[in-house]
Amino acid sequence: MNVHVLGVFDAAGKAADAARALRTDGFARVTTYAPAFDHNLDAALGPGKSPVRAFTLAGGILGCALGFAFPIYTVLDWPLITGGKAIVSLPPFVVIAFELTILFAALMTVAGFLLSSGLPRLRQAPYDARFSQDRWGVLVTCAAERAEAARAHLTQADVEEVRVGEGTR
Amino acid sequence: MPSDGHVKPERGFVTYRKISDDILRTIQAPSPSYFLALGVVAAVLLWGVYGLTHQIRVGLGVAGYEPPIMWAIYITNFVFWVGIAHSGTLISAVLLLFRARWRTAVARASEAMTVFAVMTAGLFPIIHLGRPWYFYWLFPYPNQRELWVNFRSPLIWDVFAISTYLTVSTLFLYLGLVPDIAAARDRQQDWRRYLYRVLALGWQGTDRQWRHFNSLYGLFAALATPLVVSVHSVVSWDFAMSILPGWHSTIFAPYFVAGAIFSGLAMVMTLLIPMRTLLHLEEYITLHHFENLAKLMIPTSLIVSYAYVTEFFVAWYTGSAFEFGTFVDRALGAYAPFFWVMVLCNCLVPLSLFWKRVRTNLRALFVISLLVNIGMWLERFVIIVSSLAHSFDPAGWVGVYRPTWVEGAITAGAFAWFFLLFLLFIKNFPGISMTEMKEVSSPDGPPAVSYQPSALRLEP
Amino acid sequence: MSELLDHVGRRTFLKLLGAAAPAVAAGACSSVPPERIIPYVIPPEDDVPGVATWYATTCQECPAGCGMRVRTREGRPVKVEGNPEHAINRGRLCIRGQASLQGLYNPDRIRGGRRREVTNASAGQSRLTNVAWEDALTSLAARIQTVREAGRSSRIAIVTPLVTGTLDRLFDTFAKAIGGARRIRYEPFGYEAIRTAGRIAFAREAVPHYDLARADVLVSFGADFLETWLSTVEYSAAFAEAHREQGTRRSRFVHIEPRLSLTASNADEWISPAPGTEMLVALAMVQVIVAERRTQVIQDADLKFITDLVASYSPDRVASQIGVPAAKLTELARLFSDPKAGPGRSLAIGGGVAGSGSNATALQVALNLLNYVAGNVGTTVRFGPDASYGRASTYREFAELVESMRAGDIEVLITHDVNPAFTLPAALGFSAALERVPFVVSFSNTLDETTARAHLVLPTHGPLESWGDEEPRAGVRGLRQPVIAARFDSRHVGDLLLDVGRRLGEEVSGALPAEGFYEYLRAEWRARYEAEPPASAATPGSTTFDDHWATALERGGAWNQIEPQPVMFSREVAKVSFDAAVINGPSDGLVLMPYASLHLYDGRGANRSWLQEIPDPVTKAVWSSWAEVHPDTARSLSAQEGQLVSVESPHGKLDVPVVLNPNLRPGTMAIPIGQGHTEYGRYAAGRGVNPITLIDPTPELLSGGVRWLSVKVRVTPRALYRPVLKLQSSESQVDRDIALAVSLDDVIAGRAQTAPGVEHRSLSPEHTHPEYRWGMAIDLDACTGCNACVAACYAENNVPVMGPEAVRRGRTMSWLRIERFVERRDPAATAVDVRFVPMLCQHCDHAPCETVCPVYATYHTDEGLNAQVYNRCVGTRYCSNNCPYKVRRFNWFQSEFPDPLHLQLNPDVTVRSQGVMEKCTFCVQRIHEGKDRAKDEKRPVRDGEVVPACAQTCPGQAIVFGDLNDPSSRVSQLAGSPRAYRIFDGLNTRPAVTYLKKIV
Repeated sequence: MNVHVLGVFDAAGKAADAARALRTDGFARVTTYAPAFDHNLDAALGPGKSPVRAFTLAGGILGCALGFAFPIYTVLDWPLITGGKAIVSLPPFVVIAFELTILFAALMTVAGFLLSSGLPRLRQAPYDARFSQDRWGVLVTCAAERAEAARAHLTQADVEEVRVGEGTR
Repeated sequence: MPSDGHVKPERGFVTYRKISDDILRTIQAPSPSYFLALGVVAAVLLWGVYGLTHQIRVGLGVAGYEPPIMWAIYITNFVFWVGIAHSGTLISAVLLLFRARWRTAVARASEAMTVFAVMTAGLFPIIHLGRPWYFYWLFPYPNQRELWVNFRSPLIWDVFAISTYLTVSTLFLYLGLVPDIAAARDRQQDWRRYLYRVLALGWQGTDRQWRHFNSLYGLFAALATPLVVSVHSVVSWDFAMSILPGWHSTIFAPYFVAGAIFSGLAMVMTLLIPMRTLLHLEEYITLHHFENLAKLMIPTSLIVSYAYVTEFFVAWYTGSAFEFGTFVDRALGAYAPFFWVMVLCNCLVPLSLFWKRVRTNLRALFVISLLVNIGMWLERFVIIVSSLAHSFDPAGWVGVYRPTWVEGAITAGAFAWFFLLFLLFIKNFPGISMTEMKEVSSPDGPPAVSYQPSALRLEP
Repeated sequence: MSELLDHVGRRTFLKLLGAAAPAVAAGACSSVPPERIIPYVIPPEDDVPGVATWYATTCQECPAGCGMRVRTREGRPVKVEGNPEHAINRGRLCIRGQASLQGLYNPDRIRGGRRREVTNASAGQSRLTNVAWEDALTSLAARIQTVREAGRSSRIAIVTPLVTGTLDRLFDTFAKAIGGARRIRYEPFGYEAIRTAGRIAFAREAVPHYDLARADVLVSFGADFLETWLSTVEYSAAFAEAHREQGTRRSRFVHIEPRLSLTASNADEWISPAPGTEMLVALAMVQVIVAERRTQVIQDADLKFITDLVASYSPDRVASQIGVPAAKLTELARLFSDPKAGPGRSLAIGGGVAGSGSNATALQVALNLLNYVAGNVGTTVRFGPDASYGRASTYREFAELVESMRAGDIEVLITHDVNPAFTLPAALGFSAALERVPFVVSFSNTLDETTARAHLVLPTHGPLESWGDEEPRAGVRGLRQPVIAARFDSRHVGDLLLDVGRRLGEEVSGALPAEGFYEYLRAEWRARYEAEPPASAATPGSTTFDDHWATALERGGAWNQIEPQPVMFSREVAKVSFDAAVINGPSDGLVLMPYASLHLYDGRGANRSWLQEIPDPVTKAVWSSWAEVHPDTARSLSAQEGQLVSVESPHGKLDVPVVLNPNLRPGTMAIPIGQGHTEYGRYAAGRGVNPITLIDPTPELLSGGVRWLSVKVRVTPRALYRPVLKLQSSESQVDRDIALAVSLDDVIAGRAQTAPGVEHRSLSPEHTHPEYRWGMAIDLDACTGCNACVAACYAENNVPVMGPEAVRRGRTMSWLRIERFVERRDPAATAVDVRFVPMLCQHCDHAPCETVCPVYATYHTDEGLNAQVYNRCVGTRYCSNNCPYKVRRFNWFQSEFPDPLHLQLNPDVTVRSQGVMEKCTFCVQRIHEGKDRAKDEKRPVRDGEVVPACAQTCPGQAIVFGDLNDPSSRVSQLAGSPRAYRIFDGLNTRPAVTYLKKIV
């Protein structure tokens, strides 16, 4: 039976400390909320690489391939001579390939971002409207019996207020 | 170092609160002057729409084309607006890669400008068609006649370049907006909060979201930079790939890209100078930013000037009667006045930016930016019209291009369309990125625009 | 096209029936078509839908009487072409002939009888209202009857153009039958002086036939034989034949006239004498020839006589008066008569405006002397096959008629297809005199200035709707047959005469027995056939008259060679006083030269939109009038190009914009004839000015002809600018090497080749042309810039006419244009170097237009054609921007073909819609036709089997089309000629059109 412990902080540093403390104490499911990206806070939950770049690369390769394949297919589908050029005249197709490379890379990047950051999200996790303004949050999801320990860590980090809620999972 | 937050918690507190308040204020109930502007713009747009319907009904002949001048103001507008679209991506993407932090204050506005400029530019290739109702034939869609498009034609490259650019820059703008939309969602009380709720995609600013967001933003910047260069190169190839003297030139790509950024910077100024007053953002968009924009305009202007000189030199140096004839005609012929006004606006006037007194004088900058806009528009006009008017066969040198009211209406309508979109945008979305503002001013982050005390009051 | 078909539908079938077979047509054209619906299950004989039927007939645009073949589709004439079998034009046709279709389908034709109805007697106001044929004919008959019975038949006058053959005889018979009515055969451009001079010099009053093809040296004293002079097509072709380079031989042509006309532009030398002194040039030449004993085949007595006659005209004496160095005259004389070359190798002709001053006859006499001493009479000047012009009434006769009209001595005036109110010198007062005629009836189908003043208007069939025959010169009888049933409620003028005759009682109808004109014509031909001994029958082998008739109809007529008859030199010459032309007007004024227009002739072409929109061959101006003056003269007048000047002569005044023409003698002003109509239809009315209103009405003394060169005008610039619409701005090539030239010596020495330019490379493998590879060769040396090809292209390819407003923006749609470049090294030099370049789609192998089209609307076929797919075109116009030759045309608006002009549209060619690009297709429809025929006969297309419209009509045969894959084809031969070159070769576009350098 899980519970949510949500701490609201008035400074990024405090939230970072709390998060760091919780982690060291073995709390696995810690989430932080911030109105703006904050390196300190980002570092608090340990290192981690974003997989988005992989999507970008894949998209780029796909786009480039398409960019050559498609024009070549169409000119062979109905060969028409223009300006005395060869039917499969590659130089002009490079432009198409380039643009499609960028296009697909970009689209895949977005797809990668949405997938990995779980957006768009319909079911809202515990949240406080101030997190988008000037407050930072630390959310701990843990077994009910460890809630107190979590709260302690938050208070330790000079939390402004703490809310404990029935966990869903 | 982490202790920062403990020592002066209220520091971040004050700043973030203020940023949210100031910037979200801009999307609150608009002033009458705003509605007045909106009304004027809408009226002009209607006039343009009327002109366009007239042209489609009666035929393209209602425009002032005189063979051999088969392209004129519409293509001029197209190139002009694509050019405008460039500085946006430059500022938001390239400067991001270069970690030029001052960009933060102006990035959002210029990204928006980019998108709307592309949306405006995209209209003209259709408007200028003889049979605009068949514009979709320019897209390679499968059809039972097995007709495809001619991928050897620069116009098709345009189709791909422009649509790619529109897609990417729109996504760039939108994704950058998501955290701010979330902020608006959490504050806004009127009907728009439902809109924001949808657009925010359920953004909460969790560590996970921020991490991927950062990676995304960086990658987009990396993609947008080569794209921005390619797009205007492709546009320049519409001309360079033809054999027409005055068009057929290898320097066109770099020349056009530089010109595009040049004109784009000018347009950013033209938009921001009134906007900052209109939205009371003097504290965020400051003289310092304009000075930096002005500094960027100097090299681009110089590159453009160099290109002009090169064109003439090459025309003379090739010893080709065709090339030389065209450029002599450009400087002395029927369109010479436009050419010289262009030289004045694009080459001479910007030189004044070498003086700090000019760079830091908003009035001066505003005037200069307008002149540069005019100059860059004329540049495209001169390249297109004067070259066409003076092509290979002297027997064909009959037409002298005289625009009609229809072209006037449509051109004005296009400007109106652009400003309409921009006005609607700044009243419904944060015109400055709050999250980035907060980031650069965050207690643990590097100091906010500290070299510019007036930018943010950091002490309570 | 579809609505077009709906539009014609049933009526077409009626016409179809009418045009199907001569017999049917005869019935059809004698009256309104029967109101019956013909079910299509009974297809008319010899007319397969989709297959063209050709009929031979005769052109009636001018008295030259060229033979035509009319291509009809589903009963509609859609194209006229020269009749290759015809003795006069040998398959060629001029621009006016090509435009004759627009006469047939003219939207402003009168669509039924009209009668003048007084609306307000006190104010003398009246208007034309419809009238039924019966009433009209009755009233006409009644009028004539009353005059006859009063015994005043001489107070009836009939004015027709120079009709020849059977119709002429019918008119005469009619005039005689009604008691001797006065009869005028009126031609605005008569050749009275030539006739009279013939009488004076050779006791033979006739217009001889000139053999230009045979003349190694041709000297024209103002005779514009490439424009309007006598028989344009015939003489252009003959000239081209003589002037074409054959090995080392090429004729030499010198033109003498104050203005560099189109004809002069094609000369090797142009001498610009003081106006009216051409005659002195001729006399000086005679003097040199006789003095230097260069005369040929001439008796000493005559020689003595002539020597005395011209003694006082030695070059040194007259040179100053002429304004040409004496040496030049001597040189010219020696060139003209060269005993080594033998007699009859040269020819001197004269006429035009320059040769029609007060000394017109004297000039012609002088020319007769010149030809006589050079031994040309009987060889290049041939009496015998005389031109029908000899039978036209003189201008003086008409002037007398006008006099009696003014005196009220004319009670009934019958006019037919003439427009004296426009073409007579205004000062003669024809219009005023017309008011004095109580009853004017006009047999005409256009409401011209004369017809508009008539009391009764009886619309007649057009030439293409009529039976008839023409006898343009002795021995040539062209037949005219209807190729379509009357489009409107009109009748054949012959039928009208016969009908009226029948109403005039026994004696008249007795003289006119025929049922209708068709029968009358046949009877006439039968009579002539029976009169002729079969041996000399025009069509040997034909046994009965019916065969003869059928063959004649098929061939377009019957002709036999008339041998030149010898003429005796007559001493009458002594009576002629050889003075320079008298030109009245302010001493400081400019000499006015109203010249006949190649397009509009005497103004009769003014309501044909093609003739208005195709640029004038010299000034390239369209849809307007202009006054040409030399730049120096303009400077002294302080008038600029396009400035309006008021031109005032002792006889009239008009305002006209100035066009600067450096190739015009200073001190003169040239205004083309033909514009300035007040009536005559939508394209003509209210456009430009009519210079005929300025000239002196007094006839020339000896011949009684019009003195075109008769006045000086005072010119005062006005503060208004009316720039003349021109479709070519620059006369110079600006070193662009478009029209190249080479000297004859270089050709003979084999130095004609241009230095080979850079080698053409391509990234792509050359594409192949497996079967055919269509190409064209255009010989700039044979092109005279006569515009016939342009009109042919308009007709064949449904090229729309845009009108002056569009053309003001340069939006002509012509697929083919003639570019004119003037090379002027030294203004003093007499050598002419004017180059005409027919510019059309070059069908480049590496066409720049194709690459840039985003939708493949233009691409390259494997037959080497640059195809344009109209229905795929979206109208980016990029192709036009990228075309170095600028031959692509864009449809700025939906083109219009006012009813019934749409009936002329060629069903084999699409009518292009708004917003698409179009251009020359090498007449791809004809290529397909040829290939289909070849396929049916299981053989490849023969060389010369496919002929585009432009090449077909070219009088100089400058354009050759064919298969470049076949090395033996004419086009391949020409493409390999040393004179061959391609325009803008350096661009590596590899055009399929080869040009051959002009020889200068």
